[in-house]
Amino acid sequence: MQRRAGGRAGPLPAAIGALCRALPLGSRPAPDTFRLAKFDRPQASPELWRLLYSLLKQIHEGGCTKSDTIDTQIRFVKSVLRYHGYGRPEFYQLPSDGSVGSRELLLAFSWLLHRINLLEQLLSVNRVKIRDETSLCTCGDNLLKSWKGMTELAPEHGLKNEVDIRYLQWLNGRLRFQWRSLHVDYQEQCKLLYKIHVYTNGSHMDQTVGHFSVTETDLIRQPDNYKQLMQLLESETSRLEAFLEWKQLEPVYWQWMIKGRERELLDEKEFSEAIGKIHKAVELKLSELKYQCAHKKNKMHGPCRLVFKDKHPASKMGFGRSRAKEALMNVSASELINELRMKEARLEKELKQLQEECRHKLTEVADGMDSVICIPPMKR
Amino acid sequence: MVPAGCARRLVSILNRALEDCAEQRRKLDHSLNQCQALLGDWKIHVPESPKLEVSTKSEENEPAAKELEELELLTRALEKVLRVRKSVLETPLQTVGAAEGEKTSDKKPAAKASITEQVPVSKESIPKTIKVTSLSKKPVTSKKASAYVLKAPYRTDLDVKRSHRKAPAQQSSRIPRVAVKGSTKGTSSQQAKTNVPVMGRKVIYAAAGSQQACGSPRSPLCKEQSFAFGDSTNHENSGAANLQLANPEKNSPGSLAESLVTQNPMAGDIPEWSPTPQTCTLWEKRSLLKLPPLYRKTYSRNSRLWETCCLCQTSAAAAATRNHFVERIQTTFCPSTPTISPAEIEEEINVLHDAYSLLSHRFKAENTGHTTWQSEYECLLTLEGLQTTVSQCLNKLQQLRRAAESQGRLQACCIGDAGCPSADCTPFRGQQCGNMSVLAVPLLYYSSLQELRDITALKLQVAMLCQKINIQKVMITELLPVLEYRLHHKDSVSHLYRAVYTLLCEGGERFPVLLHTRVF
Repeated sequence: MQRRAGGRAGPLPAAIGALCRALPLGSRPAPDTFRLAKFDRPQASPELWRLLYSLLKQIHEGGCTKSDTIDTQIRFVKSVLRYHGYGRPEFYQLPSDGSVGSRELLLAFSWLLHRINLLEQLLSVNRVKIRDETSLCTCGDNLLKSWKGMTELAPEHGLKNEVDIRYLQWLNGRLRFQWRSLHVDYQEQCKLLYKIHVYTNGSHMDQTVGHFSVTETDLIRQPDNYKQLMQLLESETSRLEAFLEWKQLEPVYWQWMIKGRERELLDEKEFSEAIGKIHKAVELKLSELKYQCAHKKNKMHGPCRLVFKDKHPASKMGFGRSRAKEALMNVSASELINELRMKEARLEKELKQLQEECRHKLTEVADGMDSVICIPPMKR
Repeated sequence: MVPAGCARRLVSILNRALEDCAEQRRKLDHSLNQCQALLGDWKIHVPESPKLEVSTKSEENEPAAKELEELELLTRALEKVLRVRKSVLETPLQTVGAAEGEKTSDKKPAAKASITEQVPVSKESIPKTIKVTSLSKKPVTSKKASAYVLKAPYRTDLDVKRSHRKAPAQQSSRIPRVAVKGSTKGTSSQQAKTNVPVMGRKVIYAAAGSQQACGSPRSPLCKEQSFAFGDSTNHENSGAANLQLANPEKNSPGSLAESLVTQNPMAGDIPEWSPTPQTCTLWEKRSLLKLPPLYRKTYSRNSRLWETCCLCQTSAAAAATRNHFVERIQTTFCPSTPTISPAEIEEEINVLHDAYSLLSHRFKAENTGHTTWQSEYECLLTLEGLQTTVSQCLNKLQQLRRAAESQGRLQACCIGDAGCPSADCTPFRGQQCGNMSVLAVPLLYYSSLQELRDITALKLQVAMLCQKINIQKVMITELLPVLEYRLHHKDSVSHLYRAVYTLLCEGGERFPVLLHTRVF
């Protein structure tokens, strides 16, 4: 495809091909797009904008709203890149109709590949859901997500200027009830999940797990419903293979990316080296600080896979074949329970303290009310 | 109307919290349905005529309520079967002998009537011995019932039977709900539900056994079961009728099996229509289950690939060239770009946030009274150490603040004349929680139901507490000023005060008592 002097021309198409095949199914560009972008051909721009938009949307919000206009898409991509610290002014000055700038986009794409481990993140986000999963933390919880950035307020429709306090009490009560129902439902699910795990214990060919997940059991019960799942698994497998291939051929790609710029920046070589040194030194300083400040790195974050493992020594399955990297991160339920208990205790204390403060304040207020005495409820 | 001022933010927060809860429940519902379907009866795939199945779909909605009831009663009945069976094992022969004298004509209606018997059945205690009571059931219903039952084995009611069978698949998920929502019988019927699969199996075997020339080990089983079956559903009336059940077993094994089976939707298809039983449960097949070979192949390939990818390191050559490229690019960045990106700022803020709560926790812990000089000195040293950490954190915060400000300046510099307003570009927030090793998903091992429950309950509790704290903070800022304002204006605030007190200090659960001291 390309013939560049002094470069390894042969593996380049293979590298770009592997890169494209490692990308999720709905967002694959034509390999030729990359070549066109290197030459800054305008026809590659819209496709690259679309590519960046769909990939970043998947990572950050887990969904792609294709109905967005090119304008919105471009704004989104720019804001994400700014968020990750991309600082090329030429990129941000690209017009919002997406007509030019394919070379800038290629640079931005390559920078993202490195900076946020784009491929790995995409693989992880698009993982086929065949296992029972839960999370070690509550960060991703819907209930908490809405709290971030609560400074913005959508004005409530139909809300008069004044709100009856009883309405607030009612809402509060409803919320408490919902929590209780949620608790009951979750407990029920635990029970069912446990049953399925115990019943199917010993039947899975994967020794580290030993039992089926809900999806796998359903797959046995109704194989016809899961044809799509099988296809997704197949596609995931081929993406993983492409990723491994890409890892082999990576140097070729980076070499190719640099080559174009070498002509321009040849005289800036020493300058960039100096800058690089400074950056490294500052990063080192900051990382030390980070380490010192974070005196408790909470390792319990993120999604994990739920596995039932009988405590009885009779069952020999287990740690013999556990995956090397994951074994370091494997968590036992008792650890997690302890962690959660401590967290719960801290939060309870905090809530109680807030309530106590309120009590003090209200006692003061009560003193201000004449001819009324307030008798607080009995302490339980 | 007790006004609380413009508590718009509070209202919107509460509403949003309610929506989130509802969404979680919807997701849970879906997953619960799936799990319950898995633990219920499975239809073994036998080529059936699709027409029949289609026709039953329309019928399903009508007999739904009635079938639900029947189903529930049968569930409980079957549960008791097993329990009574043990006690029955002692005295099968005498009682069966007694039964023989009775007339056979009423057996089916009686059995059927016992099934259509209403709820009170479940509330009775289960008799361990077999009762022989007189048939006190009204003859009217028995006639109707007999008409119903007699039809059952016949072809026309294949549809009904199938709808019986289909009903469990879709409605079995509803049954525990129905059972749970009933006030007192929640746990028992849940138990009944979970025991059913076992019952189901036994009944099937009984049916099958009776069909196959009544081999001797099976027929006593049959008798006992049918015996107990009839009995348990029928405490208050017509125990005698149940004894009669035993009779036809001898006379017409096939028909008893049929009646047993038709009355028990769990058993599914009547054996005489097809040679093998059509349903089974996860419990029965648990050690026989095998994933399809294609899936197994794909799965193993897939997991091996994931492992390899996890362990895959970037080669040195690739890393070198890549870093070279990145450095080059970064030299072309806007000069005022700070080295720390908004993503990193956010991460650091999270770390600081955690650090803050840990530090404040430790501070409070250290502030307890000290009796000995040793403990006081220890406390002093700890506090000094904490102080150092705090100042480090504050420094970091300053750095982050400066970085954030320069980010703001960067926007202005980089946007150029595109004129993109800052509102578009700033409020981008990351959504992930820092799981840096992206490709590997850790395994959480649990070893008992209690552990799983604890984890779930605790996670929910933590999330709920966080939410409560947030709501509390908002309430403080919105409600207290209202109260103070009204007090200041000498309005009567007792009602408002009481409500605010409840919300702020008792989490909405308890009320204070307000006493008027004015003498009227």
